[in-house]
Amino acid sequence: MSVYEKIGGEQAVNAAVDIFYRKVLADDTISHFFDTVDMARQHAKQKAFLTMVFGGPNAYTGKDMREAHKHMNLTDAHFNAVAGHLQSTLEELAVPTEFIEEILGIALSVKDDVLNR
Amino acid sequence: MTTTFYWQEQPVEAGPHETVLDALLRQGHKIPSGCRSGVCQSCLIKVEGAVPVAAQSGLSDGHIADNLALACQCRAISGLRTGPPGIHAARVLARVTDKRWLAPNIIGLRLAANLRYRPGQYVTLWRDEHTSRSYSIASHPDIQDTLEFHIRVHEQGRFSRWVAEGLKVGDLLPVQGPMGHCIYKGESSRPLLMVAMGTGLAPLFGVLQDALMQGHSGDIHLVVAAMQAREFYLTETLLELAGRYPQLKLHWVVSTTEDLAGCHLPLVRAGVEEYVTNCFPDLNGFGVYLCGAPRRVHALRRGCYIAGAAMIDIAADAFLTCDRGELVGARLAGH
Ligand SMILES: Cc1cc2nc3c(=O)[nH]c(=O)nc-3n(C[C@H](O)[C@H](O)[C@H](O)COP(=O)(O)OP(=O)(O)OC[C@H]3O[C@@H](n4cnc5c(N)ncnc54)[C@H](O)[C@@H]3O)c2cc1C
Ligand code: HEM
Ligand code: FES
Repeated sequence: MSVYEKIGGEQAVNAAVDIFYRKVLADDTISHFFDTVDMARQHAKQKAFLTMVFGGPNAYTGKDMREAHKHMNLTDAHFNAVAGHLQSTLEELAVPTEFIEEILGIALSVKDDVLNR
Repeated sequence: MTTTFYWQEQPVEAGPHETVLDALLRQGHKIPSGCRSGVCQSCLIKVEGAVPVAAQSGLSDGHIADNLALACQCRAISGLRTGPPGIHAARVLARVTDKRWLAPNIIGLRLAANLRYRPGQYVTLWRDEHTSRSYSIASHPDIQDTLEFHIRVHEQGRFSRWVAEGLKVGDLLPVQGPMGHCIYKGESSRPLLMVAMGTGLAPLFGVLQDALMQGHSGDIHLVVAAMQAREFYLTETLLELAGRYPQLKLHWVVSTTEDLAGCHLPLVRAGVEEYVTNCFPDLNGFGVYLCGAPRRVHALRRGCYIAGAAMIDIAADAFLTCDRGELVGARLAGH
């Protein structure tokens, strides 16, 4: 059973997405990447992000992750900021520590693709 | 790499990221268009083939069943067959029944038209085959049987100047729609925040009347914002409503530096974003409505979201103009 199923599947994503996106938008070091005219569309992409790091069903490959992020010239600092907001979102939702670690592990596993290294 | 699609059976070449609308206009076809953002639906065309989902977003089920799509949102896909939308089932003819100034630069226009709508929705009005603009409906169908609009008259405005100077009571003009989701959603006990900037009051006056008629019992905060004190309109009506419905709280915000002494409204001098941020630090559980200039709407949406409103509880109508420069710039920055 994936961590996605263990923490409640799509419902868990829905619970997390507003909290997570709000943290990202309020963080001046990365908010400019996410502050688009079409917030609803960006909101949907945050769902895709969370589904993926929760280990849920998604159609993304490493190559897709490279494509989606390469024009942003992201650095370690950007990555760590996103990972930090992910962690505090999960803590706020009282997700058990072992699951949080698993989720952060999934995020780390695509780091090189996201940073286009 | 170019692709080839068809307009009335004639092949049309398009660049890799070009829309059907841009390709057709570039090659001299006369296709009506307005916002170029998928909002006004002026650019309806008929399509056959694999229609991109985005090209039908916001269209009614009837339009989709009729194979209609928005040319400005339709990537030019190889082999796509396109053509004019046919007789305008989408438009009805309306007659001007009343026209009057509500403020020095805002006209109240009333039209008699056979149109079913929800208060807060908008329509696209047609001056001629190539000049269309979207306007929000300020009326409520159970209160009056004409459609009412609040139109700000711009000095250079091709449509609004014509409304002010050319259009007369008794004239006919085509109306397309209604469209949009800035409507009252029920949940009568939750608090509501409505921010009406300039003629953004039009849709929100409709939504407000709907909420009150449906017995909304939670607090309704209506923030009315203008650049200058003389641009406030509908003030007597709003004050009267607030007297009758204690749950309605009015906030008058003006960003001017002009002397406000002698004004009978309890005005607050502030930027509207600043005012909303300070007055409503916690919007958890609120239904939020934002209408007016795109830049302000966007900034407020972000602010209200960060302050705790859920994304699905924020309804917003940005009054996009047909002036391409600003719009295209804003879109590029966002993607
Ligand atoms: C969904 C939607 C709902 C709308 N509802 C309303 C409504 O209820 N009431 C309303 O008044 N408008 C509304 N608008 C805006 C409206 O559609 C037109 O864009 C607006 O009236 C300008 O048209 P125009 O013919 O006067 O000016 P245009 O001919 O389009 O523009 C000519 C020039 O006028 C100036 N101008 C135009 N708009 C502005 C502006 N906002 N600020 C500063 N200068 C400007 C610019 O210099 C521009 O180059 C809405 C738009 C949308 C998309
Ligand atoms: C932790 C690892 C990450 C994963 C697994 C991830 C995953 C995703 C996914 C699945 C999408 C949607 C792609 C699409 O459908 O177009 C996406 C888009 C996006 N990501 Fe990430 N992401 C990660 C890190 C980051 C970081 C560090 C940033 C910037 C600080 C970032 C910024 C964005 C932006 C701005 C988009 C939207 C792009 C667009 O609008 O087209 N991501 N991400
Ligand atoms: S919807 Fe295409 S031009 Fe407005």
